[in-house]
Amino acid sequence: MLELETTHHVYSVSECAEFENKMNRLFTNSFQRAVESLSQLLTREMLITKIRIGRTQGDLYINQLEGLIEENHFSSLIKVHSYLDTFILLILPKEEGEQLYHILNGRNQADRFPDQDEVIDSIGELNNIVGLTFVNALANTLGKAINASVPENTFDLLGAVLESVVLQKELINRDIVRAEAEITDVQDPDFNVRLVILSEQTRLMEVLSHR
Amino acid sequence: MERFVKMNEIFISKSSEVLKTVVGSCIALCLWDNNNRIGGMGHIMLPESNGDRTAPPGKYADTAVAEMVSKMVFHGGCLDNVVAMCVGGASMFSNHSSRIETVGIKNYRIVKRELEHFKIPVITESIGGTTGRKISMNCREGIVTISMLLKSVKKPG
Repeated sequence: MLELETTHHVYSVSECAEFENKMNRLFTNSFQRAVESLSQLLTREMLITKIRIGRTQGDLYINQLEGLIEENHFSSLIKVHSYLDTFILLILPKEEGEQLYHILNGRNQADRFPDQDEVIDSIGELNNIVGLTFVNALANTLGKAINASVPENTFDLLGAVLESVVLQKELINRDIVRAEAEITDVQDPDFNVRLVILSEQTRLMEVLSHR
Repeated sequence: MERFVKMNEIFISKSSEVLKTVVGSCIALCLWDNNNRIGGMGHIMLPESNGDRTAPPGKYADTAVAEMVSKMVFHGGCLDNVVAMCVGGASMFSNHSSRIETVGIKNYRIVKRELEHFKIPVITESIGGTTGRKISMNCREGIVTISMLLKSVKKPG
């Protein structure tokens, strides 16, 4: 019985199960490294409270996030193209974004509200470290050199942001792997960061099948 | 009553329902028949189906417009009265130069082509740019509200 087909190779059910296992290990380990770097950077104990890893199509993924789609979020995107077509998105709700600015800049929250650009810069800096930690962990696990873009940052409706990521030519109309981690401050459970990874599935399967 | 129109969905209504959606690169196409008070919204993701018959018709611009027109007529609308409003097609994370057509702009071009085919005039449009848009449409009154963030987007370097 065949479940998945790629251009070059047809994967059996057992190969697919093996792929799932390898994929789960790959993303879970990489998330763990990213959270360690986040904790160091923020000097707070951050914990992964939820990990979701699965295979889907972009439009289905976005439609599943209905409750959050209409809200404005700070987002930072890193693109990985050299070996895998992968997109790393760090997402913070508005209040958390402002809080992040104060943490990174050592300011008291009562001082003043940061303007949008200041928060956007802060989340870009955060993703530069956390997102690239994730990329490094990915590269180490795969034993491959992976190049990543500089972060592109925005503050916008979450649905519009995710839609634009899914409509990148590397993901359009393809099966994608989505891995998502919700990360929470142990001392302040209201402070949440979301790390979303969207990766083109076929290439990832090829890479993992050789490991 | 409000209804959120998801990606690839088409919804047509004669009631006072408010249809709403959020788009970035996608196109929200609103059709309105003033005489028969019928409105509809489609959340279109990609320009052309290229023979993909398994996808919902609302997914591609070249199939969505025909499907919306057909549903408007099914609900009692008359093609001669129908007008269109197009919103979306932003390029929020694109690194492309302005000479390269983005998916958003391509979506818009095909939607326009299909609307011209049915001789449906576009009376309002808000297309392109780098920000997402929230759209709501009152299907009884034909009132379309578009909100977008006034912001600056920074890229490092």
